[in-house]
Amino acid sequence: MSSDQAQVQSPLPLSVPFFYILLALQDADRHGYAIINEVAERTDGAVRLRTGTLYNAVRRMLGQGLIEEVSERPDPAIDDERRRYYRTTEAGRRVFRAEATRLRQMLSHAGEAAVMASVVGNEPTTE
Amino acid sequence: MTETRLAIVLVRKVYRLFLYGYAREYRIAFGPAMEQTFVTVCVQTFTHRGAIAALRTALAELLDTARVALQQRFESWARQVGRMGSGGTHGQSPNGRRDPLNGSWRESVGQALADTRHAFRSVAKRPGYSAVVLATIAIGVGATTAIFSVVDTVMMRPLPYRDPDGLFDLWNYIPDKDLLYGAHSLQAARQWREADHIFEQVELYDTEAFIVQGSGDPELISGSKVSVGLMPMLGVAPQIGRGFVPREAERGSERVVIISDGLWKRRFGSDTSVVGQSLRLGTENHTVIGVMPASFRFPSARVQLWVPVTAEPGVGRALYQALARMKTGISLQQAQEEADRIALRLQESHPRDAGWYIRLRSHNDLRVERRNRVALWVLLGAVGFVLLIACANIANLSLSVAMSRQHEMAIRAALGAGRFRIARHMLIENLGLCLVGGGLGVLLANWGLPLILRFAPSDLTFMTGADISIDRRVLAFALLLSTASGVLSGLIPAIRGSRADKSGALCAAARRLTSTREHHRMRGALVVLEVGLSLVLLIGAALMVNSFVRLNRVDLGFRTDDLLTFYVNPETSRYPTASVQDVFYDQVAERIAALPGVEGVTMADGLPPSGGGISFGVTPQAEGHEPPVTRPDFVMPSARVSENYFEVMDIALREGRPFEPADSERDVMIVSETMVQMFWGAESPIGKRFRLGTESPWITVVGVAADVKQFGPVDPFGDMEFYRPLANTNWDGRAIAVRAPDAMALLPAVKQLVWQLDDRLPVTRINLMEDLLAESIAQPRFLLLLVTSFAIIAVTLAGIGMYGVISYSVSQRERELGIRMALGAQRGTVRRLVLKQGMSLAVVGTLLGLLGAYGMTKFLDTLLFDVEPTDPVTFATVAVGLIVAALFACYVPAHRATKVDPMVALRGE
Repeated sequence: MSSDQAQVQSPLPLSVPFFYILLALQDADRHGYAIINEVAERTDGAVRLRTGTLYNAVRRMLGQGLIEEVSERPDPAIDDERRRYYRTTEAGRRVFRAEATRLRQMLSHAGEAAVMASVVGNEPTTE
Repeated sequence: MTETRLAIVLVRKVYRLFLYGYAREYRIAFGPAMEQTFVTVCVQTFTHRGAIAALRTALAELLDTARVALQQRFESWARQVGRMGSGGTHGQSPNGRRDPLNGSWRESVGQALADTRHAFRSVAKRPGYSAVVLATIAIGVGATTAIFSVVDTVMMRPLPYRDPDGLFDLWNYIPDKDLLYGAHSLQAARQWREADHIFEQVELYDTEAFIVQGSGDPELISGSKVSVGLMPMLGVAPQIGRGFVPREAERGSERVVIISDGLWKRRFGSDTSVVGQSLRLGTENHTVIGVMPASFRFPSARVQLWVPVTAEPGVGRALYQALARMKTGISLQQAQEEADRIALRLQESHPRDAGWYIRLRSHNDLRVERRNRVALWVLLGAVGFVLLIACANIANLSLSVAMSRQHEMAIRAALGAGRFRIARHMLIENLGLCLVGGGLGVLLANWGLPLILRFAPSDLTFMTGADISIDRRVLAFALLLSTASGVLSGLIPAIRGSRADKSGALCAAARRLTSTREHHRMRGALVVLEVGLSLVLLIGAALMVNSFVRLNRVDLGFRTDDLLTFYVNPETSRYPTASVQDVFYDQVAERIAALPGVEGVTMADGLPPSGGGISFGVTPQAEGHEPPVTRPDFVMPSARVSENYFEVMDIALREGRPFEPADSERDVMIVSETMVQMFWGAESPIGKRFRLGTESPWITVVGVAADVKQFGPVDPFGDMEFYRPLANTNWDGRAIAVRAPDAMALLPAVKQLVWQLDDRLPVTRINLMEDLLAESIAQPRFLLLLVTSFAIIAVTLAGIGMYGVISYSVSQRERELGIRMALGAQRGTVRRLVLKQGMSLAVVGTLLGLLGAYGMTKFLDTLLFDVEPTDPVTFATVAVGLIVAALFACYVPAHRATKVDPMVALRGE
């Protein structure tokens, strides 16, 4: 696996799935469907991750150490053993903050140019 | 509840199938979680947003899963190749030879040649397999190539003019009525020409019928009036003689004509000294000044002569179509904006022309009717499916061959052949076969194309002419197709086959236990694909059959057999008034009626299926009722008919009386039943009055006739029509219908009778009513025939594929089945076991096919008559039919499985 190599490289800018998966895992550990749901809710349905895309991203993010699989599981009564839960690592949190900062800077540059005034007004809350 | 659970089990199965697209490690690591997530997404969507949304989501999810699988496969392949290319530990194979990507160019070529030789040798060693692959690919490539040649000629090949993409039609456009028409006066054309910063050139044209006199029978020929600069603008010069010069556009100048290659051959016997000869058009002699090349078909293939547009008296009212050549570097949008400005200026100077605009449309858009365009794309899609199925079949076959050759590959690998080399070897084998098969396919296409064209609607190539053939473009396409098929069908077996496990595969027993399962899964997936694709085709074909049957069952409202129809067009210069024309027509009718065998002769201004007149923009109203419609674009078809029309055509009169001679002086009409419904409801309309608009006179209804499909089975006006007396009207020609058994045999006598009265009158559009009606549904019939043939080919290929997979699986499981039977399994149990395996593939394929068909048949919407593109009965019937067919395909191998002799099977090890 080329994970060691990948970690050294800067992961920024994040791809859309990476960004939103990290976003969904900011406040809680979630399984695949919960991530899809959380992202859809946070973006009012604008971003809808598909299963194939999600797990492809998850594999890479695991490899880059941005997220990790959670070994402790909820009460088996409400759980399904096929589910896998993920959480962000410290590195993932750092990368996410850096990406959010980078995006905010870009938006403010656009704002300075005034052309994007109306767009910047709708800036999504990233934290 | 049980249905929901069943549905969940099914989608789970389907998804699992898709997961086989991923590498094994990935599948083990993430497969169960992905499957669970997918099912949850589907179930949640179903609960919150309903079945349709769930279906759509499931489809999107499946597509995404497939896309990511492909992407991962590609990335891993690229990594491998990269690693090989960069040398490293994998660069050197055990026998000391370097792997091809790392070796010198010369060495690579040498190896490739050796591989090719080897490939040919191993192909020749398996003649049965090779023949099946050749036949399959020949059918796939042949069908696709034939259809492509039609699509290419009709829709894609540039028109035979200089820079045809720079040509744009200037259409008059009325936004409130959404009506496009070409009607420019000479004066307006001058304004357009002034916009020379946008248009390089603007020219006018119009089509007109000419009566050609002289030696031979008088003929009615389609001609075109063109402005002097038009032919130079198109960049086409006459093959003999010269083009028009400006002086010939002046009023009173000598009359000149340029003729088509066809007219020159037919009328002048290809006489090269034709220039200067005279051609009588109507009442005037025209001097022939040139002959256009055969490829020149402007504005359509029907047009056979051209005369110059001349400045007519009463300037400004003669109206023409306008064709412009756009300046290079000007965008359509810029030109459109400028055209809008000019239109506005023109309107200001001519206030009564207010309300119209100009739309610029590429001249290319005119080349094929929308319905035909859709039909051609549908056909191309259908053959594409056939080709895909053919590829899947070949991939399937080569997979089984790869299985049986695993031993050989393992030996090669053990002797030092790299994985890449083994893969290349197998790819070359497939590619070679497909290229040869493609060649056979081209021969097949060449043979089949005339057959296809025989059924093509005659208006398919009205602009480009009828030279659809296998030419260089089509050959290049076929080559591309064959190569792609070879790569597509060879890639999976090549990758699989090259994964030969050196130690394991050398041991025969281990072979059966290790990779058989995976191979089998791949082959199962291919069969599922084939079944799914052929179901889509079958459903499309079934919908068309359904639609065609309904089309044929339409009651046209009159008797269509034994009816000969033709038109005569007396020139207004020689028959100036209605009464002169009436006398002439009465004589024609009388003489024809006296011919032996003739049961009746009648006349109208137009006959089905092309109909009579149409009144545009009317607000029709029955006296004492409000107008039922006030739409500005409302149109009403009507026909002028002679007194015995209803009797001869055998149209039932429901109420009232037919027309009588005295009606020519009265404002009377006969209306259709549908029209009565619309304007009078349940009342009887007899004796009541009707008018087409507040400005129009009142007309009294004297009769009600049964509904007639004036415009063919697909009557766009919904059976609403009325009839007026024909006598005392001054129309441009009349349609004459002769009812007689063996009517066509009367034709020479009929023509002679007309020419006895006037030998300068052309008798045109001679047809049997039944032929006319057949032509009016030629397009649906064409589509039906082709799509059905493709569907049958598809199902046959899929059936062969399924049979192959199941019988192969039975042969692989011989030992297992033998043990089962030795342990006491009944024959029925074994048969069910095998059938179940085949049927699960068929069912999954059918379900996927249903999904696909649901998404795709909407493209057929405009082509279907009286059938919904998602007609549930058709979907269900075809799906069940396909499953039954699959059952048959599985039954033979299943039956063979029961014949396994346990002792023989066990001894085989």
